[in-house]
Amino acid sequence: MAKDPVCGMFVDERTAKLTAQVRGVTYFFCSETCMQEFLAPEKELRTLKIGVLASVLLSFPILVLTYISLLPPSLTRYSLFAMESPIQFVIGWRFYKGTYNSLRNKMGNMDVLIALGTTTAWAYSTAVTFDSAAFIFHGVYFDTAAVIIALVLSGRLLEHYSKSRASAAVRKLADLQPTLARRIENGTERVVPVEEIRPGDSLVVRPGEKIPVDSIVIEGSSTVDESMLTGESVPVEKSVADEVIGATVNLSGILKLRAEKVGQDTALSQIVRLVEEAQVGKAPIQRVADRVASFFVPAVISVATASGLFWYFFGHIGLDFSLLAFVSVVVISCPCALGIATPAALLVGTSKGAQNGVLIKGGEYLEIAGKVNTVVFDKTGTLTVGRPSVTDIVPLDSIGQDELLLKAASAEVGSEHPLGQAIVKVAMDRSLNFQKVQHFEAVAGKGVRAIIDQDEILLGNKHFINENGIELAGSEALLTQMEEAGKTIVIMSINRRLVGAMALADTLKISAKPTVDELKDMGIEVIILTGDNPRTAKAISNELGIKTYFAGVLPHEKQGIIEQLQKEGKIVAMVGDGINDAPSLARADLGIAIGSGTDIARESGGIVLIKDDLRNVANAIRLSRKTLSKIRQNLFWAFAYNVLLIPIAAGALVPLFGAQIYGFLPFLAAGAMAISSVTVVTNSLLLFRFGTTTRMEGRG
Amino acid sequence: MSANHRNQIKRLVFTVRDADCTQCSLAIEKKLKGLDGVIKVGSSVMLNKLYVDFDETKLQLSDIEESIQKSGYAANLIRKTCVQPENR
Repeated sequence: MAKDPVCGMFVDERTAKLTAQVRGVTYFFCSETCMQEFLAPEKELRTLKIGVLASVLLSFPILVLTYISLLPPSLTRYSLFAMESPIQFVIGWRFYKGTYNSLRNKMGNMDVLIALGTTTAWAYSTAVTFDSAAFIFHGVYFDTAAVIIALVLSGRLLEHYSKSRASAAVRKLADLQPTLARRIENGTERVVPVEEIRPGDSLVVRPGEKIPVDSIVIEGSSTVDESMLTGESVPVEKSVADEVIGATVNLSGILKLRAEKVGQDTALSQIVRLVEEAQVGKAPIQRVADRVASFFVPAVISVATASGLFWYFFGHIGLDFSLLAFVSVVVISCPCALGIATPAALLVGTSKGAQNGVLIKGGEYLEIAGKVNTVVFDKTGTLTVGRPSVTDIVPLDSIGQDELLLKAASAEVGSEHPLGQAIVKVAMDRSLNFQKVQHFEAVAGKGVRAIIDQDEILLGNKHFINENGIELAGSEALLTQMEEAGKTIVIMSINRRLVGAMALADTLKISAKPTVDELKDMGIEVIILTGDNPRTAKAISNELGIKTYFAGVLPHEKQGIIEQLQKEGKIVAMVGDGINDAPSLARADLGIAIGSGTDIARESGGIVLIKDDLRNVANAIRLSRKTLSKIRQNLFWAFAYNVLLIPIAAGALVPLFGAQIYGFLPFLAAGAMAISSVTVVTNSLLLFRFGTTTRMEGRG
Repeated sequence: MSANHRNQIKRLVFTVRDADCTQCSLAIEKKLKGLDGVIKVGSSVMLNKLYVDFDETKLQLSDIEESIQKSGYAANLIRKTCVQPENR
């Protein structure tokens, strides 16, 4: 089975015409474009490697000949000229080409500086070689040009490796794309390439196989490993009507699926696209660096020229050292480290997020997430599971808990009301055997009436029970207490005699409490925003240890409250459902959408959490803070590097050590330049060590 | 913008070669931004990718490719998608 390494499409090895061998592995391609896409960077890398090898090998004899007198001086000069010129113009051709592009686009770049620096050394040395009579000193600096080129190319090679390590995570994500699927065609299973799957197709996935595309389970049940997309290490149970995500792995049972989304629409494709496009949006912090980078080259050339002229006319260190001062300044300056400082950390940070189910849509969102000091949570469906469940079963008569529940659940079996369904669910969880219902009648907005074993069962709210003339007697106080805790009460009577009550509430997600605690530990204020009544909001806030809540807020008022908080100087992140809460997510400084399915691109908000785990809210903010501080570090070093080293190259140390330091300063300059961008990328790679929080217990 | 007009906006994704520095991508971006019909340009130095959102009623793919070529860099078109404006 072969797979196109670029687009991930299935390619039949027997009929494939486009193949290529790279480092002993044969690759198959679906199209010319994909093959080119794959081979072009390989070819570039090869050229670069050859360039490094050749320039390093040729630099050695040049250095030997320069520093050890083996030949008469003039013959030495001619030999050096003959050895260096190929480095300068063949291996170094890329710098001239880059310079040409740069001038044509009126945007100075690295190549201009390297070409200018090395050409200066080469041209001066060539002039000395062919017309030594015209010069006082006969030293030539072919070695300087050669070593600069060798070092700069080595630096680029290292940079290439570190960059590909940084982008490996994105590639790995794209590589998850399955290639083949088992489709049921006229009752028989046939293995087909994933690209042929259409929505509505019936698929079979065996244990150990990847789910081919986003689908719905239509038969069977199993556990599925979703860790590659959500970061969730615990396998997820799947049964009929559940959604399964393409590229996740079926672990235990055979699943029959109906394909829902294919191609560009699958969750995986959307995630890959989102992560890639997140690299494009510019973080505000990067704009400064970009602006500096755009006038950097002319500025450096000016400084270099000024220092050369200064040393020649005022420093009297001679033409050669003055030129070397110029060369040192030009070569040491590194706009690349500045330019790459933000994108490198951003790429690693967003990839790390994607591995854990945190999708950050762009640098601007990451930057604001790193600065957030207030998190506003929508309550229903975000902090809570969004549907009621039974919290208390209170017998008020001689009846036992199980019997009370059994009668209530049997009466509610036919109910479509969420409260009724919640009662049925607990009974099923306790595997009670339901009783047969002779008569059932739902009274809208009030309750139900059912006949079981000739007993009349009434189940409903206070009004309903009152209306039917049932005395609540001494139980009022207990019921009110439960209501004050934000719970909904369902009261039950048998043959018009009060027997018990049940309290139901929308329960907190298990990740709610640990998340709130974690956010508070991070120094972030947590606020609840809900359309629910103040009583419920207060109960939930108390349980979570949250001081501020806004209750009874109508949907259109939510944005106003967020604005209010912003006016108080808070930087607000709003956490909610990416579709229903879209306006308030957009209003906040940062919207964090809790994913509700596989349609990730539809979710609004700058950050989308793929799995319904609130801890990722804290993770997203912590990761953003870490990444932002990495960006700042990178920018600081890149600026500091240039600010400190340019004056040294320009001759700040000459008064201390004399002009002789220009004998080796250009080498140091090139070496420093070569490692500067690698350092920035390597520093960014450290972000891969970021650990997500797994704490589940709240604080006391 | 009318709904009909929206459908004309396409996003092109290119892989750009020899443009591994910020200034190179800034140069290409600047060039493309000068074209009438180009709505948004963005690039990633880390992934060597270039994104161009453009209006298909005003420009053709070949105009964009030509413009990139004129800036001296080699680009390979890898994807063309419709843009959903409500998301970005």
